[in-house]
Amino acid sequence: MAQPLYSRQAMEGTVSGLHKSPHRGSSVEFAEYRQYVPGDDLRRLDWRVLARTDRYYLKEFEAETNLRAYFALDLSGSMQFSSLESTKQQFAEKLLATLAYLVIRQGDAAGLLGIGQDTVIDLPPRRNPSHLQLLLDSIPTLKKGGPTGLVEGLHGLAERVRRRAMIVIFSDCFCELDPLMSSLQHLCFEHHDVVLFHLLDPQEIQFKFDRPLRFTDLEGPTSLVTEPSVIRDEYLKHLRHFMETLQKGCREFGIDYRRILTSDNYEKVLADFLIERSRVGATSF
Amino acid sequence: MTFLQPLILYGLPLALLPVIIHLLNRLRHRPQPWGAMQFLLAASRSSVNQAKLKQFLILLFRTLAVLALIVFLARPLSGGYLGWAVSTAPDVVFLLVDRSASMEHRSSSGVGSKREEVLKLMAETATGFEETSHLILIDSATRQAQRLQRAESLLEHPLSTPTDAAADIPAMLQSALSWLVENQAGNAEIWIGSDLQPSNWMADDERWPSLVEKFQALPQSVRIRLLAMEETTDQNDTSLSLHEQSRRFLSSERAMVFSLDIDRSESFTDSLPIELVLDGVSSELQLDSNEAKQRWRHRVDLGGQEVSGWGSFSIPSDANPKNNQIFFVYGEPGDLGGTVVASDAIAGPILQFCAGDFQRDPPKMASLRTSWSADTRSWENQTLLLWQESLPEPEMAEALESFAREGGVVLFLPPPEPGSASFLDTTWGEIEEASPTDPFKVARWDQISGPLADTDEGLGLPFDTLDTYRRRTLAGYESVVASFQDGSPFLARKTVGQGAVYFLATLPRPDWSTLADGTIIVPLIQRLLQDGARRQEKITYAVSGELDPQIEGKSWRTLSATEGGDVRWTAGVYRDGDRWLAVNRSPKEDQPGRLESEQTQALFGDLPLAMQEETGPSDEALQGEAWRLFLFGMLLFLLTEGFLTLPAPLKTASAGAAS
Repeated sequence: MAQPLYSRQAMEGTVSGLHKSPHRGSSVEFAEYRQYVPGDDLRRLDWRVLARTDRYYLKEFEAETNLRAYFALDLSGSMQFSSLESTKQQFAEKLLATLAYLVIRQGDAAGLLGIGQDTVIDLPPRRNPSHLQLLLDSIPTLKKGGPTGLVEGLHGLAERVRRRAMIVIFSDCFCELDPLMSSLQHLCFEHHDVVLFHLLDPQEIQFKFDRPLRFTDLEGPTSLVTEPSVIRDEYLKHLRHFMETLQKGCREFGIDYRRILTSDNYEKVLADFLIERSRVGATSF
Repeated sequence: MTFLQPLILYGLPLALLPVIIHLLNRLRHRPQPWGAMQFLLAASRSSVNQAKLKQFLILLFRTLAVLALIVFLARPLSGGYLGWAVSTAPDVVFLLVDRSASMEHRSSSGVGSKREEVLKLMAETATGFEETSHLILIDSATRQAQRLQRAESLLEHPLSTPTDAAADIPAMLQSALSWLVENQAGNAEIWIGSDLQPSNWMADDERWPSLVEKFQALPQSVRIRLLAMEETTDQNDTSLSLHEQSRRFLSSERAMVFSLDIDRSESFTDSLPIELVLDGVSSELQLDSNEAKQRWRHRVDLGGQEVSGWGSFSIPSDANPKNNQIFFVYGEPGDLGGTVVASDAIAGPILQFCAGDFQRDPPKMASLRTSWSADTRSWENQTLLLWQESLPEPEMAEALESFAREGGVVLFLPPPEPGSASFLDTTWGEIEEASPTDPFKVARWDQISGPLADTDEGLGLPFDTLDTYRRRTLAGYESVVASFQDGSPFLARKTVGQGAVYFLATLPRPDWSTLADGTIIVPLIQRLLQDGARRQEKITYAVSGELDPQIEGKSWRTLSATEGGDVRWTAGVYRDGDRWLAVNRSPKEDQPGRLESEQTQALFGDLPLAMQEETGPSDEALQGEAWRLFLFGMLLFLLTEGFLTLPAPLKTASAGAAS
């Protein structure tokens, strides 16, 4: 039995499932007592309390609903960079496909949002296995490259998805930091469980080059001829500052920030993620 | 700085190669696709100053390395200790020292003479070559190669002392060439220390091209380094030279009339004291004239005694002590003898009368002949020869020249037919005639010296009374004593040895001139007769450095010069028994001027020449090859460039690990 994927917070699903719901339901989990108000279903009156206290109380139980997971995949040009055998994009796709499989397998709904310069694809969450096939088939066909539209895509997602959901973002986040944080904040305000897989290539954080190079921007026409050894320290300083700020912002907003290198073992990455989730999920229930 | 291979300097633009290659490389950088461009651009903006500085330094050092390479290949010559320190040592270093009188002029530094300055600089710089090179001294007086064991000995070497002789630079170079050929030496450097006096360098001398060609043909390399002393014109320098010495031995008194040329610095023209030493007795004269250049005439009364003696004129010491004194000698009065060779029935007797010895009682008439024997034994008692025939044929010409060299005087007069022969390059031309109403008039003549000088009372010869109707033109004459209004010579002169040869353009005939009146012709011929008497006296005048070998060979004892002074190149009065010798400095040393740098360089043709103009005490005096400096410089630049282009050590720290 595979490790299930739990949400860290209550979900608003349409069917019963593994995940907590903000609404009261008919599960076996007691929630609280509430005074009767006219219109309440008399069947839910606690007759024992009425008999002992002569007061009308309703006994409420936790509702358990399904998970709706949105997988947002950054398709920008920078995601196509690779110093190893797989690009950040490919690494993200593997994670995405596996998680989508797990979600649908455990009866939850999974959707896909491909974010390029514009939103390339938007598959709403579905629970049925055929949807999984559709989702997996869509991934290889996504149009990749060009400037990033991550910020706009996340804002759009936050606007569209009104009910609580799990938003799993796969991106290198190579865009302006403030707008990005704003878009992440927007998702958090909508009470979504946001997971950010920050994907980086080892070369990007090490910057090991030994000769002058002409760096060409994967997202635009910009190029820069430079001596890497000369600017390495400055480059790493800027990158470090970016990552720290991003991580700090995510922590403030309760976003599950996960920095992933494409050199990491993706199975371990998934295992760590799922185990941590299950621990969080177990304590939540 | 000068270069032995200056053509290579045309390659200096190649120094831009690193810049060009850098620009090309900027276009050829390997492309690297990159995602995190925003950090790269930010880093580039932050590091731009440092990166640009480093890039600039790399380019600068590369460019300097190429520059140093080109300069190194051009074989630079650098002056001073630097040049010597970095130059390669030759096998032989010739030290050519100009000891001529002009080199005794005080140098511009005022510390010592130019010669001393040259010796000091040469000795200092040659010290570094003592261990590695043969030091060969060639002085301008002897022109003999002398090996020096120690460079310092140059300062006290007997062959580096001052002389009164002129230098013959081509001959000195010839000595160096001969030494190189005879000793089969290796690479050589010839250091020349000179003031570039044109009369010493003889730029027009035909030996120069031959010398340069021979030096170039040598298997070993020969480099010339010339230390050219600057001409100093702002110092007080007066030169005194003897223009002419005329003899006035009359029956009642004996006197010598001197014509001295005085050349003074323009800014120092106060009255000039002149010291006369006559037979060891000194007296002071005063020259009040303040002209920069003048000819001064002075009569020295020798008294009635028939003895020989010597004397000197000198002026106070100034910037060049070598041109302040002249020496003279005089002999016991001998017989005067004149001979007229003329076929002209009118002029001949007049000339015969004029050439008589009137100091005797009764007067002794000159002999009149129509021809003469070339056998000089018959000329023993002759002092003046008047020649009114065609110029002599070679055999006779040689005899006449010999007569003049011994001190005799020859006066040529217009012959009936000019003939084709020439005498000492002088030839007679055509006869020119003037109308009796408008005769040729003598307009200019030397009133201070020569046979037409004013009388001792200061009266000039009455040339205004002389009318010339006919004259024969002259070609190839040396100097003019008197000339007509149109510049044509009336009397021309050529100095030959101890004596002189004159050419008179007209005849004492009524149809030629009024010379027969006697007011001009008599003093003229009588003075020439006196001058020719030097042939009878046992005195000799010589130019320092140009002594006849026969004269040199005698046992001369110095009377005036510094003890130990060599008669060959030391001015003074010398005596050997009853023979007297006056040696004065070479007239070449009084010739002003200095060779231009371009002229000097042209003399050496394609020979490697490093010329240093010396204007004062300076370390830049002589030059050495400085290629080592540039080679080391190039290596240093390349090393620095290599250090700058080394990739920075990669730090193990990265931006951060995955979390």
